[in-house]
Amino acid sequence: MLAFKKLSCTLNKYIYTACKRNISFYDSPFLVDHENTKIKFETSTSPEEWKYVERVLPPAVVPTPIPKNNYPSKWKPQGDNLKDRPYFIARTKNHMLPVYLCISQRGIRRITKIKNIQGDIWLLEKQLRDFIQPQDIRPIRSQVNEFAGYIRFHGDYVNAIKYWLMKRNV
Amino acid sequence: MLSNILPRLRSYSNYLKQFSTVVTTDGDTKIEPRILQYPPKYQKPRQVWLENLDTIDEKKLSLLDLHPNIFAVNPRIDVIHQNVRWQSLYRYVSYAHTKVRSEVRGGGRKPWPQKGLFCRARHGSIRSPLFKGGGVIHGPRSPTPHFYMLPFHTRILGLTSTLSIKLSQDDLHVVNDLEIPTDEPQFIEELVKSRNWGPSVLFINEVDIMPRNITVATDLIKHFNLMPVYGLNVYSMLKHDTLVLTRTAVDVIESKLLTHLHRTNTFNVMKKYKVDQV
Repeated sequence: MLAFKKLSCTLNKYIYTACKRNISFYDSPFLVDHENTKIKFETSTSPEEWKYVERVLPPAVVPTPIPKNNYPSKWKPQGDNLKDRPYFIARTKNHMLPVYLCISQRGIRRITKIKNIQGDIWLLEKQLRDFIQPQDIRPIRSQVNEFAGYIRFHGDYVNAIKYWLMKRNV
Repeated sequence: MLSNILPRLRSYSNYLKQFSTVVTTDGDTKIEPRILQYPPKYQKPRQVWLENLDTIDEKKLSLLDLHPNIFAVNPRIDVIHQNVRWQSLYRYVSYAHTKVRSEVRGGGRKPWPQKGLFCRARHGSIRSPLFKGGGVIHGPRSPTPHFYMLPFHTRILGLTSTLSIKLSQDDLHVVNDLEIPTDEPQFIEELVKSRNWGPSVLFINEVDIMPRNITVATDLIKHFNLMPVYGLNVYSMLKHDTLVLTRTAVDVIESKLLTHLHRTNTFNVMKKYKVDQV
């Protein structure tokens, strides 16, 4: 009987600590400096070995993509020799196309926004409009902000515009 | 007639010489061109003259390339305005104060009985907000801090926009260093006047320990200010007519801003600003 009581007591204690409320910082065990650890280690200051540590560390800035012939997804890095084009769409720092879908008014209004445009923004808007117009019966509504460098199209044309931009590699 | 014109032309040619773009280099010192990180894909690099500061007459030492993502972005004056507003507001505390009805002196007694008086409204205190000389409702209470934090990328865009505006308006000059030969204020005043740098000049150095001569010379001139790179801000750049950067300061500013434009971990800089940080 006594043994059972003891067991139930320890069990209770265990359950109590497992689902304790009002847990605080002081409930967790304090860090103790164990003097005799079984794991043996030695410190090294060789730059040859530090190379492998650096390889594991996350990069501080986004690395430039490695040029390949084909990529597993539909994504491609931005092409070179774009200086003679009439307009330019700078990729984001993560090398993605800056084409976004802005949903507002509780999901009713969908606006496609293309950012980071330099150069002849009006020509780009005309070309995109000519590309999108056959997909919709209604006339395409758009807004061009030349100063801030963005175009907004009324409606969800994100994938169409991304396809168009990727194909031309601008 | 011709004899009248010729000496005049000669004097004009001397006058024009100071505006000519001839690079004067000393024989042994070779100035290395700048190599841009993240080479721009569309815009051409902007160029600026590297000048000297040790003589009053301007010597053009070489041409330097500047990254267009930092020195040739669209001049977003709306973003600049946001930055200036933030810089003036985050340290502003309003001490305007009004008293509420409990703080105004007196008014503890009921002015007249509740009932039985003809044409008298019911009142419990003469300091009620309805009364002349009573408390003020929703008035300013002291101290009211106006601190807020501008989003990280708005701050970055403010800096790049202002630097671009300064460069395009020919108000940004790059010098090799801030060493001047004397600590007399007349030298730097004459230099600024002869180079048309406008009344107020902001000198930016890479480190915050400035050369002795320029520190002593500009100490009592209140419109010539020295600032290290880490103090560069939108308000000061707009407040001064001319911005004079050293070459190393240009390198530091460009590399820091480019790093922030391409950094991977933006969680810490973009999360909500906590005033009471541990």
